[in-house]
Amino acid sequence: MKIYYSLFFFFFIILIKSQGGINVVYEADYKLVYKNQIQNAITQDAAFVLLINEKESYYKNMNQYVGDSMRLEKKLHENSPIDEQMKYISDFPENIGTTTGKIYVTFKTSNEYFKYEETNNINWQLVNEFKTIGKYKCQKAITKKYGRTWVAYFTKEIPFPFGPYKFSKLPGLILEVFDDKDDYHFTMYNFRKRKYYCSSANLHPNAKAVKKEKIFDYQRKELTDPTLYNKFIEDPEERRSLLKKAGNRAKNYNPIELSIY
Amino acid sequence: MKKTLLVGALFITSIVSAFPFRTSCGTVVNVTQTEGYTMEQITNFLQFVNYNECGTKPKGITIYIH
Repeated sequence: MKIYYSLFFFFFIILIKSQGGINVVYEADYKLVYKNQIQNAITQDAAFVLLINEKESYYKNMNQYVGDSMRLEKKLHENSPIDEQMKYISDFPENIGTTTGKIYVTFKTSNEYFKYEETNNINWQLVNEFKTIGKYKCQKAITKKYGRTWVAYFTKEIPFPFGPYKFSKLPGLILEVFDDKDDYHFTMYNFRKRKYYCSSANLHPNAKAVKKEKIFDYQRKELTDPTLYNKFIEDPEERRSLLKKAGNRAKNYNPIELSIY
Repeated sequence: MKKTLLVGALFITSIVSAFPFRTSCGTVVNVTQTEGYTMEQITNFLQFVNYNECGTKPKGITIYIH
């Protein structure tokens, strides 16, 4: 009988792992203010959730977090009305799992899900500068990563080495992080204790695995992909006009990552 | 109940088979070929169109049905 229990437990663990969920102990919510065009940029904002436990974190756009939860419950699906789908779209399709050694990224291009891994080798320089964010005393840290110089403020009062996007490995939770041009500025606005298993964290653990080098800067490339426009627009004149504007947007595109590493 | 669902489905199909899409900055793009694509694929395309036209993602959607 014991062996049956063991086997059941073993397959249960495999099932849980293959679903790409996370055991959530704390949740931090971040607001991102960003400019994704170099010139004449419109400042936009987006909200993100960071799900945390002692060993790992999982980061995703808030719209997607809610949308994926509804997808799991079959309340939202690929043929739900467009106005319903629109509520859950995001400029940031990346779901990012972080451990001390690795960063796991899953995302959707215009028609396919992909995943890649990165070594989590971010190197921070701690600075002897402090400020208070909310009720937390925070210390400054600086790093160069993904083609930008980043300034972070972390607090040892929340002793989890995680933060928004791919930022981690500081001796406390990152409450604020921004690049030196202030194109991307994350600020934590909510932190609370949770106790649940988030089954919808990653709905696509079996996405197609690729090297980051292959997929890097895919959003810029997709903007000018003519096949997308050929699918939905019949009028060649309108297609040409849209693709011309797309070309200008692609040239002016200002993604969060300017370089691969 | 079945009838209502069928009428609803036909109504949705007739709306999205071809429609003008007003972007968040006011321009109108005529989307003319949507048959065979899911609502999710169409939404994804509209997101691209809105970004190219306005530099932002759409906050909502306006589809004209008359």
